Amino acid sequence: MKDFWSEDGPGSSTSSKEGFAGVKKERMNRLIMNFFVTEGYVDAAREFERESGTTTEVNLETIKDRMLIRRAVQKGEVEDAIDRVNDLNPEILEHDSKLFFHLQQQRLIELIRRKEVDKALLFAQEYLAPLGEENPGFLEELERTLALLAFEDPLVSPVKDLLGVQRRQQAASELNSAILHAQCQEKEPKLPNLIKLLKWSQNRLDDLSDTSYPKIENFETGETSRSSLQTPMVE
Amino acid sequence: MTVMEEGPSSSGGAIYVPHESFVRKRAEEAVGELKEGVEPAKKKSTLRALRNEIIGDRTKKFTFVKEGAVQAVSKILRDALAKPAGFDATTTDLVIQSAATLGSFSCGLELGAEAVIESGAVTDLTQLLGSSDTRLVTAAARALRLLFQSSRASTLAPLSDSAILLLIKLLPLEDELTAGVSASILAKCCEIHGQQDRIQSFGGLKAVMRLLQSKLNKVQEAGMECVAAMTSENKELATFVSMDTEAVSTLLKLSKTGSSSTKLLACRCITSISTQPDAPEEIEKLRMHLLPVVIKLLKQAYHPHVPHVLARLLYDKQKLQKIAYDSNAVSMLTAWLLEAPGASPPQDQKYVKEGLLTAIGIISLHNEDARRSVIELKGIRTIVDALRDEDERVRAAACLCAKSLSRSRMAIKSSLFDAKIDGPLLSLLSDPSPQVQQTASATLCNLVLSFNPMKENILAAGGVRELAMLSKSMDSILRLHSTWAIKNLLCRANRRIKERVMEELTWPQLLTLLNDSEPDVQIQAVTIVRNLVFGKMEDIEPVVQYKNGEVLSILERLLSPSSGSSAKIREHAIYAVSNICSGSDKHKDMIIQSMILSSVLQCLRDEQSSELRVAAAWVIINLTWKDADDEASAKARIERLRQMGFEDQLESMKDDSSLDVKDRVVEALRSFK
Repeated sequence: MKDFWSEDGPGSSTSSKEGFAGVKKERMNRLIMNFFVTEGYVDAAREFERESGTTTEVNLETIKDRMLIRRAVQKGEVEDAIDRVNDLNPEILEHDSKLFFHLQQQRLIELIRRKEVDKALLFAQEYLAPLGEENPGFLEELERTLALLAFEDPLVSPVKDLLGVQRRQQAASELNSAILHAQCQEKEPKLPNLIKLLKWSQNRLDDLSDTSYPKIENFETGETSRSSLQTPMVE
Repeated sequence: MTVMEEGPSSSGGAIYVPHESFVRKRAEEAVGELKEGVEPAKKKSTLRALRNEIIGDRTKKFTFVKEGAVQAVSKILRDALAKPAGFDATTTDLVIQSAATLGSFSCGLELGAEAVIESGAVTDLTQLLGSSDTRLVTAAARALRLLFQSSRASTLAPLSDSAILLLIKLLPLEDELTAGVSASILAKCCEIHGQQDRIQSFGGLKAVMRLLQSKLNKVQEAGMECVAAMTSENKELATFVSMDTEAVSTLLKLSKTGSSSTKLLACRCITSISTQPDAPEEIEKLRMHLLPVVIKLLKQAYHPHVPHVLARLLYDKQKLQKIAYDSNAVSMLTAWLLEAPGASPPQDQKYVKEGLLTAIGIISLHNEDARRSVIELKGIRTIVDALRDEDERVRAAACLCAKSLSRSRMAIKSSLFDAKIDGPLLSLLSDPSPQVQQTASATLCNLVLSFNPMKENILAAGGVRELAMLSKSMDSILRLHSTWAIKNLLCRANRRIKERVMEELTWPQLLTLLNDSEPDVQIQAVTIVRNLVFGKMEDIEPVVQYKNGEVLSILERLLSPSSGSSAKIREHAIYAVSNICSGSDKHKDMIIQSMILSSVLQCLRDEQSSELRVAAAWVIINLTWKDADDEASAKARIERLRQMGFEDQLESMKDDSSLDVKDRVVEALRSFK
């Protein structure tokens, strides 16, 4: 494992140690670092930094806060997340009314999930109604959320999706993106998009011509279809 | 309703109060817990809960402001700062949270911002900027930024030198985000209080410019915000930036890449530096580079600054104005103007309107197609309405726009007339702003030139009285524009209009203007006479009648070689004389018997100005004109002229270098035969 990450000496990556597409290893490492940092794998990022010498502009401490916040939303502890994000930077929720609404909406959903109907109604009235009044665009979502209360078993209702894990996940990543944006970091890691782009390009190539090329068949191992041309990406 | 337990929640740790307990609590009770005597730990948890309640929620802010939360929080801050020793953990948290809370109260709620300013918290927050604890510095800077960006920011007192110095010291921080916050505040100090030179006196601009090289986009943007604010209308600082090639090339790069807000900020900076008077050529050239970027921004987003940037970029550059028109800028600006009420937040609407009107005005200044576009897009009524706007700058911009449009005869005869532009325009003649008065009177000059119904309307609305008043102004530009407008009004006007104009202007005032200290005003006054005596004998009579020929003797004096009058004045005076000579025998004889004749001879001999020679030849043609019924008096005049040497003079001019002169001379000589 150590070998895999380790940095080559200066200049050594220009000839034989290149990947077949001529991508320098430092670049690859930066992509990986970008993935760890953006996705919030602090320990992995720290270890990777130590082993490969790839540095990052991002203060790894701030990642920790961000991950705690994300996890809090994922666990349904939205108030906790709000408290923490306000600690991190009070301007985030101040300026992003849509995100703020979604978090408050999530709080309502959690109350309904816990079957605290009275509290849910009070909360909707005191917290969400004024937001809907100021921004009518939120009303529809608010109504949909309140519809959860109308069903005896919301889990089989037409609005059951609101109670799903997916919903928490959405709120969590919206908040995560907002924090990244406030810290001037990219909202998404680059790697998944690059892989999507690669897959798309390969499909296009296949559609357009029969010419053989080193097509990556296995995205996990990086194995290509033409073994004869294959050069190891890493030694 | 179930009663919930109070106290820290299991998940949030000791500092965290769950909302359930807070909802129940009356705001009043919460504010009570922030006041003196409450134990710090309790105060701390309440303050955090309050912070979480109000951030992003205007309704909650309103409730708490009404309960006096702002005073309570700023008291906490003040008390903490009054402690001589360093802060313990609880106090530090109290200070950070009070800063965050005060910042949030300032944001999005006018009442909140007002309360924060009234509480005097600005002094405490600026003091915090000097703290050695970076958390405190960041919290204070963020709160100050929210306050300076609030709707009540204009009521803030200017920051002291020491506060400005503290902000500048934040600029080179390793924590670039906080440096960016500082730059945003400094930008506001320039925009609101004009403190750019003060900031520069502490070396601020150089420090701000370093932020342009940051890798963080927000920091770059804050840096540009500050550079744009500091260099706007400030030649010295603009030159300072334009000398820094690294900064300029970064700005250029940012104007072409990045998000539209980044582009716009870069455009604002480059516009500031490239439109300074006497900017170096290579910097001035940037205007051309920038134009397509700004046009594209105009297409993309309704950003309040875009029309202003465009207007500044095009100012005084006909070529760029043409390109802007060809890029469809006029349609986009006019469309925006017509839907302006909805497109921008209320506090920006005046600013947007001013920018749009100015930009449309500048593009159509020399471009009839552009004027036509505005008419076809039905923009005229909105522009005319804007002449009545309560905001002085909007009125000035609307007036500039109207001036450009009034250069189109088509616009005057159709849409400007239909939109009844005369009413609002005339009231602008007595506008409190001299700038508006000047532009309004210039616009009026164009309006009254050739369209009789417009002349009638303006007369009926008391326009000439206003102009006559302005012709007595101390401001020579106002005197010039008003006499010019009166002159245009008289151009080919019928006798009734002439009489009514003279009732308002009065003869003594006309004589005063003929003797004005400004030669340009004098020219207009002479042309007023020229226009008055144009036409029939009845037009000439009152002019030569007044005070036994007072006007004639002034003309005589203006034409005498010793007067030192310019060729232009003499030309108009000669034409006035020529017009008088087209009148009755009595009028012609008045000239024949005056000293003017020798001046006419002088003018025929003037080698510099062929216009003057043409004018003088016209006098002779008119004087020697033979009416069928009274040839005798014409013959007498011809004889007199011959004696004075006119015929010889004319004979010598048969081969004049100017074709115009030659034609007139030949025509004049015909009468002598």
